[in-house]
Amino acid sequence: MHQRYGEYVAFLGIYVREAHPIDGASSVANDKVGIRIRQHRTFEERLAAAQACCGALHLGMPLLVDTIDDRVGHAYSGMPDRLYLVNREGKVAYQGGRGPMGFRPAELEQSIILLLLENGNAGRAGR
Amino acid sequence: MPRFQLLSFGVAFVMLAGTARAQPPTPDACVVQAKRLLHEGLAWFLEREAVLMARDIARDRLGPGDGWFRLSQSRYDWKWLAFRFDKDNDGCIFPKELPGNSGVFATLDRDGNGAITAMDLDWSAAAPYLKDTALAGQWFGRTDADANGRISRQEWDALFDKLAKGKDYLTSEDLKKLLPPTPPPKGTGKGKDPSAKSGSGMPSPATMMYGLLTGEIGSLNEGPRPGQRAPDFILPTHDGTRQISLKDFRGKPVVLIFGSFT
Repeated sequence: MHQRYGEYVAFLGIYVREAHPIDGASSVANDKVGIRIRQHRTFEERLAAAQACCGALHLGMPLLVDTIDDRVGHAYSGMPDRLYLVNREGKVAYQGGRGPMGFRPAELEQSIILLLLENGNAGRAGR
Repeated sequence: MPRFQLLSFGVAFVMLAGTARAQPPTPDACVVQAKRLLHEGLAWFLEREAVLMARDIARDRLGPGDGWFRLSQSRYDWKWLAFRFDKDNDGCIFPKELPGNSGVFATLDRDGNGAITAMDLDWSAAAPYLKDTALAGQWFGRTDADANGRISRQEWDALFDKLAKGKDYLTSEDLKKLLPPTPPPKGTGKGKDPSAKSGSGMPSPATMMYGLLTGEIGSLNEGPRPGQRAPDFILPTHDGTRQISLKDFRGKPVVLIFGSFT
């Protein structure tokens, strides 16, 4: 999606609290692939986890790291995962449902397309 | 407390104060007004997402169809799209009615039937597309043995062997085993061990409640809605080389992706 729309839309990842820490609601799927992370107790631990994530997933967009008191995560109610689309005036155009069930990239993509239609940029964007 | 609640409280106070100048409020009037404000305040509180989540966790209603996750909200819906592009008001938008390339049309025409309709933009729990997607996801999850997001040839063959049970073919009855099992009946929760895993296979209610209170799966804040200003922030990048602020992107749309490695 970043490759398809990156010319017209900026993409920012924001690393927040672990959704399935091994000292919390751990995940069998994560265990299977060797992802075992404790809930961050310091900003440095969160930074290390974000670096591991970026390295493993080869993200092509900036990955920002939230403060250890989850300031931005709480402001956007972004935990465990969530998608937002902010228009060029700085207002929310799409607030995704809370993940995991509400985390729907395909739904976000529809809103991106419609926003670009509104802005007159849909001609060259997309597949 | 949101502004409208403060405003209604203030209006009530001013009204009472106003009448007090001409005529002191009767005890009955004070009680009626206080009850109304309490009722409105309680209704507001009980509708908070965090309260609804806590209620559903306590009742062990944690499955995908239980509705404890609120739906998304978008400025752009079928009404928005149809008003602008369904010029003949037939409930369908065909390629010739929509500007942009074929990729734009294909993304909106979710069911791929050659026309964009209200159903293509329906992301509610009752949407057939989502039910089909959920079913496919459950089947996929049970087949993807190493949980890497792909079904390899080996995993596919292993599935065949598992379903065929020694046969070299599959019947429709064999394929029914791919369907998700019927979840156990949901009880009142009395007598249940809150630390035991929930009937839907998710973490236990106690673990989920801890996650809610610590902010792992939710927040007392509900986040900005469409039309509201996105809260500004400035955060460091993962490599520590720079700080990025949301207002750096004013004039360009921005996608924010909240998440973690786990």
